[in-house]
Amino acid sequence: MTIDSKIQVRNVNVYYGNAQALYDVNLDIKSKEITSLIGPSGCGKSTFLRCLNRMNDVIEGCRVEGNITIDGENIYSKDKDPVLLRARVGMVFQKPNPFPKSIFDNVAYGPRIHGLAANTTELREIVENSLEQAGLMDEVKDRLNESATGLSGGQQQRICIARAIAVSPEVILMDEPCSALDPIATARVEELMGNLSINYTIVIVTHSMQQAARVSTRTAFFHLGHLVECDETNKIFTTPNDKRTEDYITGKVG
Amino acid sequence: MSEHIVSSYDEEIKELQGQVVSMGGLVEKIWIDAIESVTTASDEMALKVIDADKHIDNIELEIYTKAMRLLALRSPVASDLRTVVAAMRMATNLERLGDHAKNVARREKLINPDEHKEVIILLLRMYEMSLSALQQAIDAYRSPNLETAETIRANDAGIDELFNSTLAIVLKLMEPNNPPLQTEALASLLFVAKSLERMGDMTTNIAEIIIFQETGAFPTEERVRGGQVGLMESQQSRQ
Amino acid sequence: MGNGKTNTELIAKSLEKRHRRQTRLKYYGLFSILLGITFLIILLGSITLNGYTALQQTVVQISVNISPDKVFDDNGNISEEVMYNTNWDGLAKKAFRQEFPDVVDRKEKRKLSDLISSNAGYDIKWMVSQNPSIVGKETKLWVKTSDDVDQLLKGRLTVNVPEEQRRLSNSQLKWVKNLTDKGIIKKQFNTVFFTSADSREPESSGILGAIIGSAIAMVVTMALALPFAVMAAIYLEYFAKPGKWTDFIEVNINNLAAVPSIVFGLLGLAVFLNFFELPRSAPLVGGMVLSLMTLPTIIIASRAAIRAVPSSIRDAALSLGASKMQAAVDHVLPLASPGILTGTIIGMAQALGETAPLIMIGMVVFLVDIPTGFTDAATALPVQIYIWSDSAERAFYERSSLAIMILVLFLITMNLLAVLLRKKFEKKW
Repeated sequence: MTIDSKIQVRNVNVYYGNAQALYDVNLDIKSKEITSLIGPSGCGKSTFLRCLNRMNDVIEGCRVEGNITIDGENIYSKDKDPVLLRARVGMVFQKPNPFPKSIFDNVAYGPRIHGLAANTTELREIVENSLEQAGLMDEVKDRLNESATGLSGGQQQRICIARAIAVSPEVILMDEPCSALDPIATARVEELMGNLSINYTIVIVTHSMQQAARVSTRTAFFHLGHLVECDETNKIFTTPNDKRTEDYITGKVG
Repeated sequence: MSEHIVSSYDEEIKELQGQVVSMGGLVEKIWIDAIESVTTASDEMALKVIDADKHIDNIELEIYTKAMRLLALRSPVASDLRTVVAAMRMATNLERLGDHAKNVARREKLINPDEHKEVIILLLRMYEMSLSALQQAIDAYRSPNLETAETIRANDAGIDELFNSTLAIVLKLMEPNNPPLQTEALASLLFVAKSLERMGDMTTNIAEIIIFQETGAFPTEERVRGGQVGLMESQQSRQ
Repeated sequence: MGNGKTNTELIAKSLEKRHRRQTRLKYYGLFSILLGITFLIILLGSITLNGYTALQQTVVQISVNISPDKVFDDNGNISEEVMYNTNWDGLAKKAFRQEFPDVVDRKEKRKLSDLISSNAGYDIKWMVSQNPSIVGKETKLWVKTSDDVDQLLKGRLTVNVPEEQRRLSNSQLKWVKNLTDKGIIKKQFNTVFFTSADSREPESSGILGAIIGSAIAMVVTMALALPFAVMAAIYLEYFAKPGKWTDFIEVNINNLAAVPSIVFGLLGLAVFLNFFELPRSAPLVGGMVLSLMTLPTIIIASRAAIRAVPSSIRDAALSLGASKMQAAVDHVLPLASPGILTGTIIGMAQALGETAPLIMIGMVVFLVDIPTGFTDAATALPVQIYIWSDSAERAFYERSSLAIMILVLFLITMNLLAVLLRKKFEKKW
């Protein structure tokens, strides 16, 4: 479709065993922009998100059909290693899930396993840079060796974001990253997302429509496994095309 | 229209719209009274109109308060958002319509309904058209009707034409050697004509608000406007 | 709303009934727990009452004058050979009989000699070898009495029955009384019990051999069961594709945990001893058999521990591009290790108390030597208890009770350790 679409999703069907979770999804995700996925619980938005870094592979009985390309490469082709893909497509989860290790080790884990740093100085640089980008450096610079689980929920989530960007991915997927956070922490993460979108393509699943409205440039609405519509966020929240979208975002009985 | 899962949300929106409709009814009434006060030279009626306008101003404030409450507490989006925004714009327009009715009533003392019959006939024709448009517009708001709204938009040109004719006649009647009282009466008639013309414009606004509320589109197509041209013509004819 | 009463009244009425029911249920539960505790106290109490006396051993003082030629060779050095040829037993008995010079009848003399332990001679020999300076002069030494005298002084021998039904004759009782009056008979701490292996004579038998045998077997069990169990658990949790085979394996692991231990013993006998021809009675084989038995327990515990680590941790690692193995080894295992260790300790405790499989592979042997290696013949704590409880002498009975106390102590320690580990490392998610 457009030249600047980073991820192209074509005719994607996802099944959990015999149950179909996604039906013929076609979507273009633009580069260096925030795309949010909204929809009621069980609509398949999280499933869709997990298709993008093949985290669905981990789930038993999950089958993905169709084509998903990132920069023109089919991520589901036989010769593609999901491990490599996940280094390119980072993920932040609903509940902050830092490893019960030090802040430094949390952020350093990715670079370590991928051998991104030649020596400890470089590793330190990567860690500090990632924390800086995650807007967390000032808060934690004196306690890099303390356990990450001792931080507040919002800080933990930003540690997870720092950990994801430490592997310098191209795409960051966020699965309801603020649902466990208070409004202040949420605002911090949203501000951070805005800053990150300069360098990264971000796809976020959220239950908070206000959040989708606040942070994203484009919004996709999923309903019962179908992608109902995807458009400029502004358009979706003022004049959606589809009745189902309208009913969902205004909170009406469908 | 499907209903909100939260029924109190529905109720609040309905209440807001209901208040706009009743405000519209009051504006219709105040205009009828204002014109009647002029045609019957009733000071009492004119005072009543001026008083009623204050009430309309208060209703506008109430609608704004309700709308702000809805915006703050419900964060409406899509059609809900448009409904609330439309209600606020409706209130603004209706308040101005009330102001114009009040202005007409204020002119009552300066106008003798038995003089300048030719002007008054034109004014009454303008009034009939504008009032009917306003009534239709408020009906179209009450039960949204895009067709009516479009018709109202198209018909405004007729009111503008009438205004131009009125303007031309009044300008002709205004002679330098007229007695000051007569000039004042003619100017007052012109003010009334202008208010009626504005009434038409605002009714068109209401029609556009309805279109916005229903479709999300802001009508951009320029309406046929005769006012400026007419004034230029008459200025030229005077030179 | 029946009977024209308000809801509040109806609820209040039923509330009383519900409260009564709750109270009743609470007391049932309390009663069950009290019942359990009572039986535990009776069990442990009776064992303790039977066993604590074994902590003491009766000794009697004798005067000996050991001539140097029975200890030293011609050069005046202490000599094993010379000592070997010495009749220590006779020496001890003779010295003891000196306390009663008026006993001359041969039969009576033998009865008198029976009052001291038949190992008293060895005790003197051992004391001499430890301290040669006692040789060549009149020395007073404490030697063990026979188990009958020991039991008599501990009040465990019935004396108010006809002489022919007693283990001690009238004259023997008189002599013991005499010794008591002279104050040269006393009870002292039973060091022997904790420092030696089994013996035919209760007063010389100890539990150290069995403890060491058990310890070696436990080391083998742990070394074999833990790594295999953890690897199996990781495979089953992380890599096995669900299907008939995995279900089959799972069912069998659960079954294996419930298989009677004697079956493992038979398996060990058939495979390790008969087929691989490993040495009989060796703690190595015992440990191998016990590890087979413990394996399913540890696998089940490890899987539970791995599953208890929230999947979000694994997801986090995977999302960063870690392989499944990296996710498991770097993150999940360290977090699961307290659970795995707890499971292991409980499995080991179970193995420690196991008798039947060890009997099958011949670890039920009479051994006076303490095992020093994996392939030495050895016995184990529970087997030792089994052997002693089967013996005729009363003194063995009290020793087997003491051994049970020691075994229970070990089990309590291990389970306590498991609880403490769990408490200390338990993570809240």
